Amino acid sequence: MPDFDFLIFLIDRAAYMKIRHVLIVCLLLIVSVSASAQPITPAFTAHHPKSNFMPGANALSSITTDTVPQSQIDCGRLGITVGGLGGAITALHIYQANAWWNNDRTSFHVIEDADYQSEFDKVGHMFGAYYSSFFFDQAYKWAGLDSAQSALTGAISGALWEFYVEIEDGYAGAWGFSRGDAKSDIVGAAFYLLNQRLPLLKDFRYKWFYYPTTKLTANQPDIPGQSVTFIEDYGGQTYYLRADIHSMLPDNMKQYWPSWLNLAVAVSGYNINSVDSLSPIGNPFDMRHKAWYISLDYDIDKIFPESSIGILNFLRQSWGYWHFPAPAFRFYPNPHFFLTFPVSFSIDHGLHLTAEPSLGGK
Amino acid sequence: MCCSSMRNFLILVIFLSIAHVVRAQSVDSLAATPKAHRTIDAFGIRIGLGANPFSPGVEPVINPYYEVPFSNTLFSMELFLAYIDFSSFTSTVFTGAGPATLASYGFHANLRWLTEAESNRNYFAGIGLGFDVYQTRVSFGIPILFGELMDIGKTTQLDIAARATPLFYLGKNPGFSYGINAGLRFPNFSN
Repeated sequence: MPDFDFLIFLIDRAAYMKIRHVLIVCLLLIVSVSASAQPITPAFTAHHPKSNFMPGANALSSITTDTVPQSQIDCGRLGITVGGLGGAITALHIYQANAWWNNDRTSFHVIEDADYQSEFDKVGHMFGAYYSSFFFDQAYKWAGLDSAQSALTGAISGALWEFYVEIEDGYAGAWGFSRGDAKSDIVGAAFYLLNQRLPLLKDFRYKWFYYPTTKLTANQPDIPGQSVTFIEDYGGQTYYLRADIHSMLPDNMKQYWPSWLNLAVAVSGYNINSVDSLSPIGNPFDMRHKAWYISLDYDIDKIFPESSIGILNFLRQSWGYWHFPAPAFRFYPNPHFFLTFPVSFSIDHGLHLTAEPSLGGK
Repeated sequence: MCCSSMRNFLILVIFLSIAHVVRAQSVDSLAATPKAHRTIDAFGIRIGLGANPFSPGVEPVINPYYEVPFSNTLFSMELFLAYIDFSSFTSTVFTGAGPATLASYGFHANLRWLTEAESNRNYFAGIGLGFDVYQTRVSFGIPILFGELMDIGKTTQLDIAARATPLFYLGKNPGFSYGINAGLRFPNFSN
């Protein structure tokens, strides 16, 4: 192995404080000098066109139109965007703080929690960063950023938001900053960005479905004294990576496959709410597993036509990340066919709808 | 004493380079517009070395990024993967790295300012905000970059950067890391 220790001579412990001061001065200078840099000339702007350069550049269209070819920031909309996002983030913070963090503060600590949900929660973290990136992306597009800028800024915002939640967990006594969760957050936000900008990935979309289980409705938290939120009600959650078959087919074959119908690989929890107090290996979560499926899937945003009303279009796009009950085959474990996965209908003094029982278990 | 003088000299050079690069923003025509600014976006990947004054050895680093022009800067999101050592780097770089092989992983958001093109070269300075996860700690840092972009093909550029990052470990004392890396940048030009 090459020896690179000779690089260490550049900085040693004694010089650390001095260098830090110099770096801070550098930092201040960069900020001040860049602020005084010459303004952009019209020529620069004129030759700085932005277009939706790739077929998959805007796989999901913006609130107002399908493409945002050029950045034109609207100050009024930008203000509304910043205010709206700030309000939404504050509301979410209060919701999560009341459920998890309040009255349980301690020093910052890092944990590994892979067995807590058999790593199924990592799939949820990925989706959390992915879906929140979508909302940020849409907001920035509406404020006037072009497609490339908004996708990038949206992904960064999504990752930052999820990281912030993880850091709050790190200060909570019953939780902790989970290395695995943080990795999933980064992957989810990065996947959203690539999904929007890389033609190779334009035919894939990450989706989810959620239906509350008794863990939420009867408030049965894993940690006594806390409240269950839909975020940790993993028994009611399923995640899908769908492929747009219509788009992938050659042109002469497209007529045989509807544009809204997809195929998906899905993952869910399996007995994910179970607690094994008699575990022979001392792991109360040893009954929790993941299950894998092949499923049909349909895009709501393709079934309903695009609207000229911005907010309706936004809702249509937002539902495009939801999977709705459809036939599915579980190939691991215990192969089984479901007609309306992931929900179950029963008739007992009326029609009842529940989350598929095998997901959450007892 | 000699080492200290050399260090101060190097810091002065870095300081002056950054100030020079950031001042050079005059753009009067397309011909003078830095080529990188005329991109719609760009993907890139760098490979390099990173070090921390408080831990021995040098870590191999992989640094993929996506970048868009933003006003008169380039704005990027990059993943920052630092491997524990060269053996873990070489054994996992093609098969995917897990927590056991990574010394740290995180993401950084950076802005960089470019000079006018000189013989197919742009020099740049940049600053960002980064979050990194280590085995037992988490940090946020302010990466400071400088380096150059050099055209080596119609849609390929060589991207060389040096990086110094003041780190703020959550719940612990502050730290510092530095490194050098080089890689390829693949811009999509608007014209």
